[in-house]
Amino acid sequence: MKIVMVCAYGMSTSLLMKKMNAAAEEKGVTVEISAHTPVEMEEKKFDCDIILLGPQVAYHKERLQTMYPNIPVAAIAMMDYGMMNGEKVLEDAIAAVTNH
Amino acid sequence: MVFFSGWAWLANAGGDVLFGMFDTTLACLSLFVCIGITYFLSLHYKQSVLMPVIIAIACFLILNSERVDGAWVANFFEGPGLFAAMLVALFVTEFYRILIQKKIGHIKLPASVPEALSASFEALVPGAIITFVASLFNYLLKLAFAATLPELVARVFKPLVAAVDNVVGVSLATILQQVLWWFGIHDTAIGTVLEPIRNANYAVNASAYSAGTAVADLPHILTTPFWFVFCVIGGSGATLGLAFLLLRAKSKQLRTVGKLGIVPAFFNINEPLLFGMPIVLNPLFLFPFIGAQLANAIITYSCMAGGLVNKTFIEPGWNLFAPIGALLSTMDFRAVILVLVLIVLDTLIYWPFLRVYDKARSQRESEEMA
Repeated sequence: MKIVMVCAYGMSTSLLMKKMNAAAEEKGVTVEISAHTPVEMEEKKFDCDIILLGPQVAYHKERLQTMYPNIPVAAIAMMDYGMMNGEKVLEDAIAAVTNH
Repeated sequence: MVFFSGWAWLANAGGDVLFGMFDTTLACLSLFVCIGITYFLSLHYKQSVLMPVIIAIACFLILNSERVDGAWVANFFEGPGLFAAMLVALFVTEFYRILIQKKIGHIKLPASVPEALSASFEALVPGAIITFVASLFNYLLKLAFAATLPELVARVFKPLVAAVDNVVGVSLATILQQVLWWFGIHDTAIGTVLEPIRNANYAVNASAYSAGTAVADLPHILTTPFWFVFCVIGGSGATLGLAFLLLRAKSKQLRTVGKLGIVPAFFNINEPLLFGMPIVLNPLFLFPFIGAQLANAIITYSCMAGGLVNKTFIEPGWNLFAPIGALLSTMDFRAVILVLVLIVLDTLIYWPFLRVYDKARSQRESEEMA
């Protein structure tokens, strides 16, 4: 599963990304996660299964959803983001992709 | 004696090498910004990129420079030409887009001509039209106002920059930013408005310093490093001190947030704190979240205006540990002391609020355990 994460400078999501990779390894799930800025999202089209937005840039959601009509675009829950709860965010992402 | 003459030689020789770098990097900032905006805006419009960039460089030279005795005048290659450079980039990209879309000046070649060849003809007439308009515009400006574009832009922007670069303007900017953040919206939303002014001010300071202006006489206080090094210590809301406090909180959740947040906080990243405590939409923290950064802004502004601390003229980047950033951006050890004082002050501002919150949290946690 390919996950694209978005936050203002791609900094704080890269912290969460590490935690998600660790959680994925524990679960034995293969994921490919990358962190990007909203500007990078404009510049090229990413090949991915889901886009996750940091809560501070959640206002980009609608625009990204129109750019990627066929995959889920979701904002990460505030608390999960702040607590860097990689496991929960990963589980939610997997659920969102399977239910889509 | 040999050592000192050797040192003088090294300083002279080294100076040439370093100035060679400075003159072609920071001192050409406006030219690079012009290229950058044209490049990214063209990408955004999904049009060809190389031609607009080349036309933009040509128009930059027409409007932001002139040729004297076979040499380009570089006064407005640096900071003071920044706003004009942005205008040139926007003008060229938009104009080019319209001309291409409307197929104005489109040279139609027979279908048998290879596409790569006809594409190179596509930009020929638009390029000529745009540079002609730029050159004519430049001529008319000189005729009407006896001034060039960057000189006029500076005249127009002066009141705007002055309106922001004072204690009231800076205070309003930080309050607005913090209110937005408190609602959970990243400050790039207002930063995009302030950033050109902050960057231009910094570039003007850097140019003035390299031209030999005394540090005390540098024109601007509100610059990029002023904001990120002195106001936003530890992330929006000046939360570095708060991150330390969290490490010793009674509540397990808050301690965890502290452990997660302390290392990023050194580099001005505080999303773990904002969303994990949370501060966002938490009425208890609204006051310190606005107040701490506001205090930093007002105190720093006053210290710089009063000459107690050097103004900033070097941009060390937004994610540097504040005391180091303070030294690098001002070359003044007093700035380091100021930042340390501000960190203590911010900690004190957050302390009573955190104490109340920590008490309530740990109480709830022990109830949940029972």
